[in-house]
Amino acid sequence: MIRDSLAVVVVARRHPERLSATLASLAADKVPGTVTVVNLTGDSVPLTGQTEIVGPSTLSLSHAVDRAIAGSSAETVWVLRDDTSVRPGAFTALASILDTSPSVGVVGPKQMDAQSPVTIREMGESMTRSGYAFQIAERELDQAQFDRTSDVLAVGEAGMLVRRSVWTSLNGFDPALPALGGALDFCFRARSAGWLVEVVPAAVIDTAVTSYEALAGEVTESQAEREEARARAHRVLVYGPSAVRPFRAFGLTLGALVRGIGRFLRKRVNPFTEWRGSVAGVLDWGAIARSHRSYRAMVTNPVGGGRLLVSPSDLRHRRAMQRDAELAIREASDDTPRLEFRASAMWSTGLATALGLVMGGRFLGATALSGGALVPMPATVAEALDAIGATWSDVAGGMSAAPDGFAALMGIVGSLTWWNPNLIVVTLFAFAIPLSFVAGFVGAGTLTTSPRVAIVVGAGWALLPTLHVAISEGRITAVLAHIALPLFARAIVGSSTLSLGWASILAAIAWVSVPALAPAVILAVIIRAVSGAPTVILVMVPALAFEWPRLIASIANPVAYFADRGVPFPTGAPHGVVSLTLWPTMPSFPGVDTEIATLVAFVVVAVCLALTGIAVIVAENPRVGALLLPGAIALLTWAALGPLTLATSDGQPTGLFPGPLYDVVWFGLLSGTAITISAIRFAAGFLAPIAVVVIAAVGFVPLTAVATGMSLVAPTSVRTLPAYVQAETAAHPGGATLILTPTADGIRAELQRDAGVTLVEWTAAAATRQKLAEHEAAIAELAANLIVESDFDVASAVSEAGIGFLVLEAPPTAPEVSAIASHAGLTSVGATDYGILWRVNESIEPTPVDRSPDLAFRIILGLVGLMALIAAVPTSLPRRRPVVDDLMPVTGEVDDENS
Amino acid sequence: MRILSKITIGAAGLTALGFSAYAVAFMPTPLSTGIAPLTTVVSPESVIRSIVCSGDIVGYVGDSATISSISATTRLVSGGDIATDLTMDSTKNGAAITNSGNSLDVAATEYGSVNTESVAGYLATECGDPLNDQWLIGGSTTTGRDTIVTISNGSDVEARIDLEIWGSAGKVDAPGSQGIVIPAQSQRSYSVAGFAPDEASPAIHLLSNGAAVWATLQTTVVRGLVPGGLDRIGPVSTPTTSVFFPVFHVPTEKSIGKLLADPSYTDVIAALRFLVPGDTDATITITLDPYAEGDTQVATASIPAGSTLDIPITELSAGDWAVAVESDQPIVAAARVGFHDASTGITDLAWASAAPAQTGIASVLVPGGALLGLTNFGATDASVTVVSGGDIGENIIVPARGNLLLPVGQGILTVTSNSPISNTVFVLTSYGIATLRGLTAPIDASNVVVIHG
Repeated sequence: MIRDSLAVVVVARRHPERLSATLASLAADKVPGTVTVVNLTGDSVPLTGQTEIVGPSTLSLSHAVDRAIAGSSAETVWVLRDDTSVRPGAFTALASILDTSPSVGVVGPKQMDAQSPVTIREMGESMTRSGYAFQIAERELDQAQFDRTSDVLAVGEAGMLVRRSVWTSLNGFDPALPALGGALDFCFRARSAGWLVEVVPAAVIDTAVTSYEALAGEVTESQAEREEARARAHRVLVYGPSAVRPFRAFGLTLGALVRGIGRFLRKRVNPFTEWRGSVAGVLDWGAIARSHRSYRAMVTNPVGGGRLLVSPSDLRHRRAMQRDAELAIREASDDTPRLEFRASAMWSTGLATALGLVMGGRFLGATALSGGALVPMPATVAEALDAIGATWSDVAGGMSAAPDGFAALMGIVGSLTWWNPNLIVVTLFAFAIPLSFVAGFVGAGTLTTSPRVAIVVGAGWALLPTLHVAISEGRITAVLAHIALPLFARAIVGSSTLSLGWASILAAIAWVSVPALAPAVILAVIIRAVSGAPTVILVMVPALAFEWPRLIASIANPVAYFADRGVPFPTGAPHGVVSLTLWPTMPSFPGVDTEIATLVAFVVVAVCLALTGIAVIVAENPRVGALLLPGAIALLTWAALGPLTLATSDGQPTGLFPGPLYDVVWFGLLSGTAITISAIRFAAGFLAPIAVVVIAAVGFVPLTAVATGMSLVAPTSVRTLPAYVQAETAAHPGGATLILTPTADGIRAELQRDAGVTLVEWTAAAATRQKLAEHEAAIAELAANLIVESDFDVASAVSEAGIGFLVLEAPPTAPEVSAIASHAGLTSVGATDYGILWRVNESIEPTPVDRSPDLAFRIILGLVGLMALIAAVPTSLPRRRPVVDDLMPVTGEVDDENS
Repeated sequence: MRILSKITIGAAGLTALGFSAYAVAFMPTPLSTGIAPLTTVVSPESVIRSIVCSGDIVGYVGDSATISSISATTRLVSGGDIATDLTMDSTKNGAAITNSGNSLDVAATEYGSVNTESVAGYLATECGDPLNDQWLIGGSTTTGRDTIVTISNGSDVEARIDLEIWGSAGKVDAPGSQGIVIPAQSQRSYSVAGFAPDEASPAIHLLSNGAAVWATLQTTVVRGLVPGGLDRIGPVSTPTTSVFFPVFHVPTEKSIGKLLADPSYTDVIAALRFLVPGDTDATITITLDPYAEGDTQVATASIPAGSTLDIPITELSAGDWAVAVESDQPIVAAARVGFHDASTGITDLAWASAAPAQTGIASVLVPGGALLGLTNFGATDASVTVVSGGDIGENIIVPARGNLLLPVGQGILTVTSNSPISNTVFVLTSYGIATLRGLTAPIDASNVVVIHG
């Protein structure tokens, strides 16, 4: 009889306060035999006459049991912990199995959760074929659903009743598995030695913690996961044949690594915990070898049967349940109401697209656009990608400088339409109106959950003169910033990794396109960081990855850093008081004097400002006021930089284009106006359309510039040089073309290499250069002498500069034609679409230049960009149930979703 | 609490915005960049300037490369040497003159007088820089009138010429006026009557593809059997909205009056010829300012677009006048004055091309005693240095919107001005009359401003 020779061992380690209850429950159940308490708490414990053995707190459970039974002759050991209390009848139920079934070596009880006595904590263990430990019942409401289970692979350590002979022959638990998996391993070995293991549903005990917590106290999820992975690696390698162990070890680590990467891509916390645990398990080579030897020594009946292991379908089912539970937790925590893009928004986007097609229809189907500040992109994606980190630019006769962030950005953007990098530019310009509408709509989500407010903001954003002046002047930088800014505002107020990723990408686009926006972007990030999300600071990393070489290069002349990127092009922006109309040019309406137009523009700004003042109070949250702060910084930036010459373009001083800076102010004003208008209940229905119409009327001239052919931008071919030159330079690369354009009092001279200068070659370093290089002076000398009849030795000057072709951008009747023709060494090719073309007679040996890219820039940008992308790519499904507040109109008006 | 934070943050935002607006409107920026437009002023090395002279007085034109020369002209050259004599079929006529020293100093004039059965009169015309785009106004192709266009190509490159001809009835559809090839270093002459027969008021637009050329119109008049009138007209480069004739000489009633009874002498009456090349009718204001005592006369007229119009100037007292024409559309114009010497019986006329407003150095060779008229149409006084016949330069002030008439002697005349000024030299001899203009170099070859793209 078991009860005649029983040693009850209670290991007290972390929960001495529960020990009395444990001992009392033993007494209440009248459990026979000696009760030995192994005190590992390092303190005294309250005992009621039991034997006490004191040990160090690091002593494992298995060794504690060994010590307790060392002086005893009991044939059965009941292993209990200080956090387990025994329900009545538990021992009797366990003992009866051992009594009646001699082949059963180990039995275990049903473990209930001490905090929730109807929940099963653990009831028998198993594992998958690949070694994952698996609880047969885990955290389930006990409805007797498992009570027919008896034959199991293993039972948990708490309440385990084991024959002493089994315990001794197996040397207790494997010392390599002190925290997790010790009982599983022990039972597995017991089965391998020919014993049966059974769980006894009639025996019930309460446990407060898991075996790992009982050993180590509070453990985090990742610690448990790591320990579990370590135990699994140990199991797999110990039970398997030693010959294939290195391969299994490699496979284990690799599999864990792949799963870790998967978790990383899904933006889970501590993605590589499992991998770290696996590596730790695999590297414990000595312990594995020891355990393997002892396992081989006693194995008589290898566990190979599928019955006791978990089937794959069980596993799938269990995992699906796990995912569902995770999702439910996530959704429960995500209860912020947000602006939804629903039917009314889609209809409005359709309208904006239709308007965009009318206004920008000229651009559709174009292979490339140029004019104003826009020149075509390279013809192939390879050339576009070469611009990333390029240190050599053919602009200004060829110069070497720090890699340009905007060139890199355009290189990346251009590769989105890899078959024709110009297509993305054409698309951006042709669809600027709908894109801006969507951007404005989404951006309004920063401040409101009302679709009506968002539609007014989106419509205003799509109609603003800041956008349309930028389009008609070919300022792709300002167009990019206009679309990116509201999206950035929306992303920066979010708190998820996803919005952080998007905010970082959008901040980079806005900053790199228009460096003058950097102060406003930085302020927005700082406001967000101060108001509760310090990690938002990371948002600036991608922008810095683009811009660090340029920032370093600008230390000598910091103000020049803020020059507009791309091709420098003079602006007609007013300064001083008139610039407070927030118009990027002089305000103009058809048939009205400039003075009156300016006055009207002032009135519009004043009304918007007044309505925004009201919105500060009416709005749902204090963000309207906060949004004005970046606007103020943007305006201050304009005050500081506006009057300056930041670049030179064709001999003209070129200042900042204020559009993007005004955009920051406009976004605050538009949002405030829309919020106030929508808050006026009785009038919102007609005030909102009126506001949109007013904005459209005020911006009428720039809005219709493209449609009426007044814009500087026009569809062109990808080439910027005559086809003859392109064909020749394709065959003999490196040759330069001198382009001469007569001006009022002289000549404009530009040297272009190969097929012509593209957008990605216009670096800030070239646009903001303060003095001419030596070779530029030589080009000037050559140009001036070419357009007058002189004895100048053109042939040698031309070959020195590596010039193979000469284009005079003038009609064939221009006086310069005969002057150029009078020089020896040139052969007239004829008139082309680009001007009169001459070929240099001597064949030119181009001087080789160092075109190698900055590898450090590429690597840093690549890594940072990858991180930002991983953060920005959504990897979880959108939430399935609407949050109640989504449907609740903020200001109390009837929701127009219902109309 | 929430409303308080909204108001606090909102007030902060609005205050910051207000401060920034104040800064934009009223505060000067404390920053500077040191970036300035990049231009280079280059003085080209050893500039070659070639001016082209038309050569002899032409009698009739066979084909374009064969002419009959009635009389050689006298060619005065200063600051340069004849580089090339231009070739016709078998003969040579006209020359290209290249500077020997400073390219701005080269000047040449051709003059001559004839008194034969078919041609009588006096001509004197400056030689000039070749142009790719030029306008020739003057002459007539009605009975007894002959007008010959002479195109001289002094360069080493062939020129391909397109002519557009306007008359009083509009643009003339002239066969053979397109694609005229003038080989390098050669000259061709065409009778305008061949393109526009019986046209009282022709005007020619000459466009050259390739080499720039120098074109002149020679016009002669025979009334019945009596020849009386010879002149050569230089080109103007571009239509403008203001046109100046600094010297407009009205002969005395005593000399010319009795001719006017004969209807065939109507073309000795002073007149202005206008052409509006554009599509819009032009409204012009003609200001006639006498150098002698008298009142300024102002007249307005409407010039129909696309055709020439001759406006006779009568009722003016004899003497020298300055004519300024302002228009609301670009126009080209020329002025005609008549001459009759009762003692010799010589009748002549002179066509004056509009004198462009120029800054810098304008040089002209004066064949004999003459009058220099200067017109300053600008709003400020012009300080002008006039050097005549090797005299020491004379600094004179031409008042704003004023004119000045100076007697000048034979020899090189240079007019140097720092603001735009028009000049014309009027030569009055006993053989007839002529006008000359001092022209500046087409590109200021001493200082070419190069802009870096």
